Amino acid sequence: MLNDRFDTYIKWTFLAALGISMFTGFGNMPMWGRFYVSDIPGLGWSADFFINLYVHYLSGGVLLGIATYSIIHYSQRRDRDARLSRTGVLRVTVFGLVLVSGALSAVKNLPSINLPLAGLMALVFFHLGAVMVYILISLACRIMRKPWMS
Amino acid sequence: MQKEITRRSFLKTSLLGGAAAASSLLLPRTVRASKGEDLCTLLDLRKCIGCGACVEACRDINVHKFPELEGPMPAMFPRSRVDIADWTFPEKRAVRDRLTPFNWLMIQTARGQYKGKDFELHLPRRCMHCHNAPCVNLCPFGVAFTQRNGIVRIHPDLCMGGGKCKQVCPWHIPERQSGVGSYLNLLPNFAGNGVMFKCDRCYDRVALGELPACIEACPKELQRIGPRKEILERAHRLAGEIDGFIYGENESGGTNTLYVSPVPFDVLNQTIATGPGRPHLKDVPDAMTRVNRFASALIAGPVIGAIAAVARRQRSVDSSDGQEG
Repeated sequence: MLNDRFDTYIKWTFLAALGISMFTGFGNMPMWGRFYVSDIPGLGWSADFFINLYVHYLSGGVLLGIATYSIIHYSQRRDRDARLSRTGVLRVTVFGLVLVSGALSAVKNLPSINLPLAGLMALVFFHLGAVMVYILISLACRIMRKPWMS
Repeated sequence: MQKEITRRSFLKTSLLGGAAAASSLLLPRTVRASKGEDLCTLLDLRKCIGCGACVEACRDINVHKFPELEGPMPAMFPRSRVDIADWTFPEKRAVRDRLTPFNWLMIQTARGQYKGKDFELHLPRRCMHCHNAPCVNLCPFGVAFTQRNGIVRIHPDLCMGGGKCKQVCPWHIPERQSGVGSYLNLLPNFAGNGVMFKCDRCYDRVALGELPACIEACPKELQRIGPRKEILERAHRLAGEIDGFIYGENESGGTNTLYVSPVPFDVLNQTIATGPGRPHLKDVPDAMTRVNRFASALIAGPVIGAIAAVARRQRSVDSSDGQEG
């Protein structure tokens, strides 16, 4: 009972952090100010690139936390029958790439790290591309009612 | 041995050995600074007479990098939210008293009193080439970058002109020319707005072992360029000799442009004209330090996640042990 409630809590925290990450991620491009999103009451901060990035990092930290929790938790489960479905594996893999490329994007901002132009662009577009692929796969799985677990 | 390349040493070497020999003599020193070591400039503000020779040299040398409209300005939506900047008209192209896509270097004049004495100082202003530049770190397309020799550049063929670099730059240095660049090939009506331009420290000349145009053209040998460590030592020595002040050493976490002045920079800042295209001289905290503090969430998250998983596992084991007992 307690565990069920905790799983529900984790699920909604994941969805909220995912939504905030996507909003602030796309907000890293100069879009929300141009297209009136920052005019919506309560979203004025989204036009500030620094605040946008702070929130992106915080929500990214939550996603990394849930990912770490899930990996450890499911690897320790006794019921070995509970396995990821094929679409589940695909979603987890792509989401992992999003998280890893996002974390690397934060690392490259450290003063001692200096990537060349090609490296910077590859990292930025890989992260953006992986997010887009994840969104498309997730939508397709939702529409086709594909379960995470087999 | 003199470490920095000065205009005098450059001319002397050229006269003695000819242009070819001069290039070969200068090349090793520049390349040495290029290999993982930032090139830094030192501007002794007592020497600047505000003649504008550096501004003209910059415009002449870099003319091939300036934007040219190749068609009509696209209709960008929503018009009220898009800041269209067109500097291609002759009268705007000629502007020299502020930074523009055609004017990457401008001179500010500070007049006032300090310690009961009148002063008049001229300050050549351009990109500071930050060590950990916010424009580079925060460009959403990764097209602003730092060369291994510390020169901060914006790639003109890849920039979309969104202007985020200008917003996050502590001095708001980059300037936009709308209607040019790669965004024209994508969705010019809805995304992008041209290309951002700023000083690129004549990276192409530096790569050939030549001096940036502004340094070479200065009749007063205002600027020196060399490895940051050596230039920083020289700046401190000079500031000590004249009881002066340094700007650019710690601003924005450290830049590769150091101004040395006999008058404090907060005093100068009160007397110069600032605003669009006219950068200030305020203290500038390192914006990237705060960003990187928030990045610690990316470490804290997984640690908390791991603790939660282990704790849940432990509780589950305790619970099953209790049932068995």
